[in-house]
Amino acid sequence: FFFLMIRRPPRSTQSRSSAASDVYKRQMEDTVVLAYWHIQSFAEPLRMLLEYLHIKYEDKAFHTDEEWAADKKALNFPFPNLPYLKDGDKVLCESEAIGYYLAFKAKRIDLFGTTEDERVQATMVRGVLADFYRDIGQFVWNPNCATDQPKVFEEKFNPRLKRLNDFAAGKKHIIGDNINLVDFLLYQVLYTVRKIDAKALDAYPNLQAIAQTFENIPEIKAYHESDRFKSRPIYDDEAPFKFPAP
Amino acid sequence: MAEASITLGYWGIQGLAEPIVKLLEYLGLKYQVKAYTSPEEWAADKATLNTPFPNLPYLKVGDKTLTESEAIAYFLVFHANRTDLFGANNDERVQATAVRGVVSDVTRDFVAFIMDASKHAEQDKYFEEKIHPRLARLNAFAAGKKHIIGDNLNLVDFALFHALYILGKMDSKVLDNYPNLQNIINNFNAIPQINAYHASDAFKNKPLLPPTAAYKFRD
Repeated sequence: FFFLMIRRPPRSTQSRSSAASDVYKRQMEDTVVLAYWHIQSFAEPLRMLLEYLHIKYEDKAFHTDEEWAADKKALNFPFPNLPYLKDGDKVLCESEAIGYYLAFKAKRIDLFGTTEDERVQATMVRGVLADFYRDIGQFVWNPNCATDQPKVFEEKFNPRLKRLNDFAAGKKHIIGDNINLVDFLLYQVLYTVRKIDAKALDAYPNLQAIAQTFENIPEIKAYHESDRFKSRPIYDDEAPFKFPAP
Repeated sequence: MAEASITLGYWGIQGLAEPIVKLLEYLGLKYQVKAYTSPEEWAADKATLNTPFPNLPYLKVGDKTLTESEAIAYFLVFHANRTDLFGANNDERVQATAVRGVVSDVTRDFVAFIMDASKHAEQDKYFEEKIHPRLARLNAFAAGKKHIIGDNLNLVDFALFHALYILGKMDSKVLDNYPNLQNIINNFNAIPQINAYHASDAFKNKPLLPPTAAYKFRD
């Protein structure tokens, strides 16, 4: 508890109370920094997670290599990479580690899974989604994406969507009744695939239902109605695949 | 009560499943190996495998089949009641997750390199640009530690060891500038179950790469 006591006061000026009971509340209201490029990509599941967990954050977005280079220098951290999370003096990289950290910080270890079996299943789904999301990134940056699109969907995307759809049958969230960290990554995959092709999920009603349930979570809904979400491109404007304008 | 039988399905190589094999050995679990020697043989089994995302490696335990290496590792940790291997506290768990991300990226990069013959002539340049920066960071992170997370062995030590092992086969000098990583490797090798497994025929006779890989090791 002592180290919390000597941290800097929060940047926001919302709470002026100095009562001991408010100190902890203010610590939880401290702003963390999530830094990434100015696009959705790998940071978006983390932004949604921060919103869901009610953790105040500064959404630090780099537009150029020079901006990142300057920040990297100022950060003075041995393993700088994007995305990173800064929480007080602590800096953390690797998106999955950041997700874990936030779940612990918010005391939401249920997000890992409420049973050992759920934790194993979530880890399995995360492996599948990590590959899927990487394939999406490769497609978006493929100079021949327009001509390759039907083949990519047939050979790479649809087989995975079908298996995920089967796995999702009868479930509220991808692991079951309880929302899981891996739901945030799944939603981003489904959202992006649907932006590539509006009909991409037509054949996968279980995934549509899960996406809708996720979108209707109040914190997610509010975030999606915000300007900072609406103005953010999914990937770089330079990418060969042209998404519809945000 | 009889212990549920464990079968690990994979190609008959070390490949990407070796961390799981070492984990099985370390945990002292009895297991069988189903080694596929052709894509056709695997395709036939894949069609009937009762699991949501059929792939290699898979783990069959009793009547359940599990895929995705990390999920298999998690399962084995729970099965053997060794949740300490996730990390001794939340901070270690987070650190282990971060290291795992770095090790996954390095592994993916050198696997892509091995499978792309057009790049092989440029190995030194490739190592300089992609591999050494990450090894330098891992080496700094490993300073003063017995295992990569600290005093306690972690799941991520298994993946890290295997990645460094393959890199060492690709370039015997790759760890010359990274004494902390050499130390970590030595400590991992010294674990009795690991040491015994490395001395076994099962390990020594197992090729590292698939027969289709065009990569030629230097030594």
